[in-house]
Amino acid sequence: MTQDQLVEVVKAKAPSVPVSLYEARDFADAVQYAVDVTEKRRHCEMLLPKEGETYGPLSENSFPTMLDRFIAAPGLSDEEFAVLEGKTAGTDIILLRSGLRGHMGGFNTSITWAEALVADTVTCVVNSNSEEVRLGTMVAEVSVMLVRKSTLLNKLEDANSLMLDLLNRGGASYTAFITGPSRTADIERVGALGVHGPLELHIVLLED
Amino acid sequence: MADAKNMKEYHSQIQEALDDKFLRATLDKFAVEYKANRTRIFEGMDVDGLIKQVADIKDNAAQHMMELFEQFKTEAEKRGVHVHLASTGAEANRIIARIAKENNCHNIIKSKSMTAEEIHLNTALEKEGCRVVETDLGEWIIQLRHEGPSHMVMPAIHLSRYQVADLFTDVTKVQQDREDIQKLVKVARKELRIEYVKADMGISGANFAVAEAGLIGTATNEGNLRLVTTMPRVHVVLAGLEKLIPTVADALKVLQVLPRNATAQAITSYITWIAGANECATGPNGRKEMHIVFLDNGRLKIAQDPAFKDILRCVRCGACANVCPVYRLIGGHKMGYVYIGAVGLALTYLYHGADKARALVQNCIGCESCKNVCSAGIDLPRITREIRARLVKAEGNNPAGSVMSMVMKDRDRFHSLLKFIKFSQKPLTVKGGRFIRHLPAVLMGGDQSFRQLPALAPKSFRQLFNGVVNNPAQPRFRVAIFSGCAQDFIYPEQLVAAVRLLNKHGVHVEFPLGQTCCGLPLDMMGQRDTSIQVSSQNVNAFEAGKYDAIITLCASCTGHLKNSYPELLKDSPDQYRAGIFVSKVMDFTSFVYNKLGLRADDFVKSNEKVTYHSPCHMRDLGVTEEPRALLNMVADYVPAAEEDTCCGFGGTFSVKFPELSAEIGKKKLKNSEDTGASLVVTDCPGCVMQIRGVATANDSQLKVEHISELLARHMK
Ligand code: SF4
Ligand code: SF4
Repeated sequence: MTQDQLVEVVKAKAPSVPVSLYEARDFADAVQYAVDVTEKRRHCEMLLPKEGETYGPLSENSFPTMLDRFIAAPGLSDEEFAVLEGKTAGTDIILLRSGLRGHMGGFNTSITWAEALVADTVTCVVNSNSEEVRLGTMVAEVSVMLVRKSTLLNKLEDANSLMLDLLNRGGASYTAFITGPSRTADIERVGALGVHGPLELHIVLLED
Repeated sequence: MADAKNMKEYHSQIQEALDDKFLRATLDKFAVEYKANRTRIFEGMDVDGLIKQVADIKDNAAQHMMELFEQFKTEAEKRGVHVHLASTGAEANRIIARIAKENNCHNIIKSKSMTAEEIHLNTALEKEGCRVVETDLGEWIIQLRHEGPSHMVMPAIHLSRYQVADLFTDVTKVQQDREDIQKLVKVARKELRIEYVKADMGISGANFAVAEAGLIGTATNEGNLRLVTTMPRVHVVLAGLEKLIPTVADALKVLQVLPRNATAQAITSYITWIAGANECATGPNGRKEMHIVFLDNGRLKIAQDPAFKDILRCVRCGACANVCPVYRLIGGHKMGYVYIGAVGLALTYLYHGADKARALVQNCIGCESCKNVCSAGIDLPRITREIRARLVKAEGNNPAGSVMSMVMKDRDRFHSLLKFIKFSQKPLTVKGGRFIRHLPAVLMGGDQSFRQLPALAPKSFRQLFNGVVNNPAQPRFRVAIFSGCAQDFIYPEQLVAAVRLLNKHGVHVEFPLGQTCCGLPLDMMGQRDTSIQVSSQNVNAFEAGKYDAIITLCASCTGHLKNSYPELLKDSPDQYRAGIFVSKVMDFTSFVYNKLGLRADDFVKSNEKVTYHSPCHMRDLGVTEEPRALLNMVADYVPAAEEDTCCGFGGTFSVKFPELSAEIGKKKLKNSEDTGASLVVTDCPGCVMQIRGVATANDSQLKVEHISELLARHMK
């Protein structure tokens, strides 16, 4: 399949995953999308509230919310991070790049790169060797995955050589196939999103 | 967990489950939805081909278990992991407790692991003073309730939202919403977050241990495993040796089946691949302290046992419970000890011992549904029968089994006994002599009042045959009939109808008198030696080479002849004869439709509304279109809901578990009645006995016939 056909497959399948899909003009546009998504949502829930701290209004789950907005962007290069800083300048968004262990109570959004996207299942292949990337993609309420169109794969089996490549890059390796938000059906088989990790997953497709 | 030591205890545990209205409703709904969802998610894929590939991959792995272990160990050690091998559950528990102690770990978080359940790891760690918290939502719920899982994939499927809400209210000391499941899930999101932060050690299971890279692969939907393997400074993986697999490509292949079969998902939300001690800010030198404990607990021995080795293919998808009519009625707590469902019967015996399994392994109807849905094509009912046979061998025979064996060993004795019963049963029959109200308890045992059992026919088929057969001068085909006991002695009219139809269409029919019971009831009772003896008698009763086909009208006999005879008579002097015999066996509808090629012109079609019950063993043999095509030629066929679901007969099963057989039978009756048809047709005398018996006992107007009778009535 050609790249365009693969993109069509992703478009057709994304809604049922569920994944929100955005085709960005360039990197700046991709980052702008993540910022917009963050600004549209309510402030993040605080899952580890401390006695005596002040918080915002209660969320729909009756949890306290945070007073600030946070975007975690582990794994972006310095240049990429600078673009993000530009886009958030003048907003109430606080950027996090590392030390995410200190933010386990939650943050709004994470922006991370995926190494590849499997079209057939809309699965992001994420190099998660960095602990910050793992935490970023789990603790954020909204996970935004950046994917280069040239990395689109057709089927899951086609991820084999990429897997082997990731395994051989260094000593230890941690790779995640991520397909949609964190989900469960453990209570009465009723589907629910965000049981531990993201409530939403967004994929932003970029040209090379 | 069902741990009944004897049948009496087990029956009372079963009754508890039958009385649980929520459980019944949930599992009914699940059974129906699962089948539909599974069909949808596999659409357009070569499911059988994939299952075969999974079976091959896992078989190959099981045969090279220790080599793969060594390769895995070398690769993992290169990446800074400590690899252990525990020969028993107790040893695995000790190793993990020691790791906790040496690393000064008190707070332990876990992601889901059936292997940890197998060895009761939590209890062992708690004894050492550790605090263990499950993070998978279902596992957390049952941990808080001090229960075991009732399903391998959905451990808390037996609980309602209200039970969960009350539990969460208790735990959080805040009144929780009792209706809104979304909110209940968020309670877990919040409550468990602190546990990730506090934990010193994370324990996970593994779906794959990939030898070529010392790589652990896991499939989860919640993503809790990613936090369990990231936040704490120590990570321990517990994996059964059967999780070893040679390559990443193999794992990716298995992943095409596993999530589809488990939860009808193309893929789970997270597949996590961990090779080596990864970055961890709080670990020694910024690295994780990582250990992998492989568990033997009998697996190496099983790999060398030809009768049991297939069980190591299991990828724990849970599908064999999802389609099981017994599971549907009583749930996992009563159909398993730790492992549940069809595979649970076998694994309880293999991993937890005969004591825990003795009553449990009796609880299988033999409907073959699990075998046909299994991700790895494991013939689970065969393994269950094998376990029964081994229990009989090891522990001596039970009274019912001995009597049965004694009678059946000798055809003449069996047939004289039947004659005796025929004469002595007269006073017991009601409704024109066709039903015995209650067969004497010695013969049947248990309460059989849910259905009326038939009387033996005044004349058996073997007595009737010569008067009925009217062979053509120039036959198109020559066939022999294999009758099985039920049609020979209870329902000869079904065979008489078949002979008339076959003769009319130019088929020469014979009935070799040396034949006897097919032996399935014996095998179901663990009477392996006698079962082999009757198989041999039957194979020798037929000059199979003379016939174009050996025709059967009993689905269960057909299945047993075709599937089990080659295995039972393997390495016996009858092996060769058995091969020819089996190759000739053909069920009646396949013969009539495919060989004789009868079509609508051969029948007079009526507008009588009829529905169909598809016998389990017909489906197992892949005969599903032929009977329906024939029905459409003679009547107005209306499909029933769950037409493809077991009727609950299962021969000896319905005697051992009348309470289960009754429930399944009633459901079948209701689904058939709901079509508005006046007649349900099927192609197995066992199913006729069950459905007709349940219908009569419930004063239903629904009539039940064998398809041969319907077809014969509509012959031109
Ligand atoms: S054969 Fe049927 S009754 Fe027996 S375990 Fe399998 S699905 Fe359940
Ligand atoms: S035995 Fe087969 S169907 Fe049952 S859990 Fe294992 S793989 Fe799945």
